[in-house]
Amino acid sequence: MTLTGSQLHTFSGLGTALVTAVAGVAVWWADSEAAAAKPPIDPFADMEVIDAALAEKAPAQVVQPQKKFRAPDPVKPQGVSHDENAKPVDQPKDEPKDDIDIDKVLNRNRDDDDDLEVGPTTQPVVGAFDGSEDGWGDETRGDPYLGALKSDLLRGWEYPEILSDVGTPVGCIHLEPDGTIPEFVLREQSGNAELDDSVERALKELQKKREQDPKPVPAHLVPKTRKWICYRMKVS
Amino acid sequence: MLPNEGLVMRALLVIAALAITAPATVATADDGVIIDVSGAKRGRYPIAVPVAVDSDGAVAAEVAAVASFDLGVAGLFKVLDPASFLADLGVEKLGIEPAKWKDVGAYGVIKYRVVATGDQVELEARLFEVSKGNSAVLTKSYRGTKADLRKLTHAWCNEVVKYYTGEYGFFGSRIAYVAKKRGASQVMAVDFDGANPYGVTRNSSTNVLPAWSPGGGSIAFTSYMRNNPDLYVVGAGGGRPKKIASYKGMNTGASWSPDGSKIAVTLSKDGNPDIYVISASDGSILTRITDNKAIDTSPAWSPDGGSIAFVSDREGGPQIFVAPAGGGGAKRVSKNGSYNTTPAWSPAKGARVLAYTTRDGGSYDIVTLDLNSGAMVRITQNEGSNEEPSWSPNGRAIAFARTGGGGSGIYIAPADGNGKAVKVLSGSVTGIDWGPAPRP
Repeated sequence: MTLTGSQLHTFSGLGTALVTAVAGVAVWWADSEAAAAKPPIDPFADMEVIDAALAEKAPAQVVQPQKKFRAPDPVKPQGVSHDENAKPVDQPKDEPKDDIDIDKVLNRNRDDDDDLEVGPTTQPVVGAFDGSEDGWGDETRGDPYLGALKSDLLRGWEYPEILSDVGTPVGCIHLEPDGTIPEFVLREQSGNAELDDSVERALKELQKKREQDPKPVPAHLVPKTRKWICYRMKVS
Repeated sequence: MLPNEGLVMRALLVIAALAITAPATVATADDGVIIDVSGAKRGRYPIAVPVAVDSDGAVAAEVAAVASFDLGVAGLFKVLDPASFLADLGVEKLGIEPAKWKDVGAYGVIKYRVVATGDQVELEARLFEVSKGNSAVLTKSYRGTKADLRKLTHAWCNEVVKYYTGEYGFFGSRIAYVAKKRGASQVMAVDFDGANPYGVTRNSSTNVLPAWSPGGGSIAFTSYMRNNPDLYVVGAGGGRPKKIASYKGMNTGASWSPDGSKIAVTLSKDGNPDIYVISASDGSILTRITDNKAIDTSPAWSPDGGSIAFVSDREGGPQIFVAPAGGGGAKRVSKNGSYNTTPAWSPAKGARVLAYTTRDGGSYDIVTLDLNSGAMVRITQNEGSNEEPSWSPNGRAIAFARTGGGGSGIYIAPADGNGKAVKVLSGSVTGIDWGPAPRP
């Protein structure tokens, strides 16, 4: 049997519609199955930003007590005399000859770190330890227990000011129901070895702090302790 | 077979693939919570300077002591307490076991070996960054006499500062000052850490207000040797002074131009103190900076050469003004309080920051003022009376004279206001002026 061009187009169109419908049903069925097995997931709900106000103020450094002064007006390059008889001024010459970025100067010799690409270099390990559960950001956003945990982490995070602050490493902890932290991991390296090192030190400090003074996880959070709690660490 | 069967099959495969992968995308969204954290405490760089164990005990201890002091006042480092160290130094020798140093909070570790043979010493020094393992990131060797040991250690510490900041430290520089001796006031100089003080002037007159030349080879000062406050220049090591300016009345408060060819000075040859620029070689007047009925004194030449700060009471009490170095109108920059004197420019590149003395109640304190932002930082408070600030060659520390509050003398404090001042020389001193950094 030979089909004409129009017949061929008709069959082709009907066939495509049929296959699309079948595939759509398959997708719908698969989604329904997935939804039945697990609660619906909003990919963005997994990402939680706890209000910075939760962070406790870091202990004051040893700083000379600073009295408040009335700040003077910024000085223009060319002074304006209070003496009305003063001669007009020539082209100002008091601007710095070299407009040097102090931060760049401070970070000179940091090439080993700064030249490295910044970003994830390891595979994600977040999620349930056994891989059976999804995120729970919605349920824990603003939670005071996690807020205090974050504050403790921040309190122990020190990073020398002369080092480059480029990079955003991610560190994760495994929190036990009794409040101890049996393990932690640097999930994403930043490419800045010293910054990564400082995050590991902070996680270790948190682990030590919770070892000495474990704060049991509240009942509503206990089921969540099967999952990694991760921190995306930015210097400032 | 249909003629377009291949096309249909490909379409089916694409749709099937979409149908299969869509649920899988959802299934792998398996992340736990990720919390954004920002605000690390930014502080000094923790560094360990353990005493070398496989070296001559006395010289090894001196190297550690000098290096610890240098790095401690650099305004960059926090030198860790040796009592906290966990590492087995005898096993480590010139290397490190990073975990042991990480456990005590060190980011950097300095190791060295110093060998004394007769009058000679040989110093091999290494810098480790704990995060980078047990390979040294900086290694240097020095040789000299035992008398040079402090100098060699300063040189090493300057290299350490350069490694982290790109600029040498101020270790090995000297500070000029005035001390009273047997009824006379003499210009003196001392290593920045208080070692090796010596007299620059040796006469029975009053010698005041020393000012290092930019190259560090000469010191200008005012002396009453001829019964008038005239301006002289003498070699930094002492010797016969050369009279530069002896105009009638005051010839005081010298401040060198950055190229060393000119000196800003206060002259009262016409009866009223004003600021002038004179030739550093013959004292001839080049430019009159101020012409005001008020008293204008204490000129300070900016590092870029374009401005001169000075003190004037033209608006009442003494305040800091800034005028173009080529002459012209001046603008008041100090706004706090009613008494501000002795301005000094930060030599830090790109900075326009002045340190000066401000009266605070019954005492005097040191503050800095950023002329670009207006930000002020207090350097001293509630610790005696502090006057005459002078910046370190790299702008990271400020020396000043203190009376009371821990004992009179020369003190050094971090220029960022963080940390306490350290006394480097005891005694009643005035006229502090920090000289340039030694050549590497």
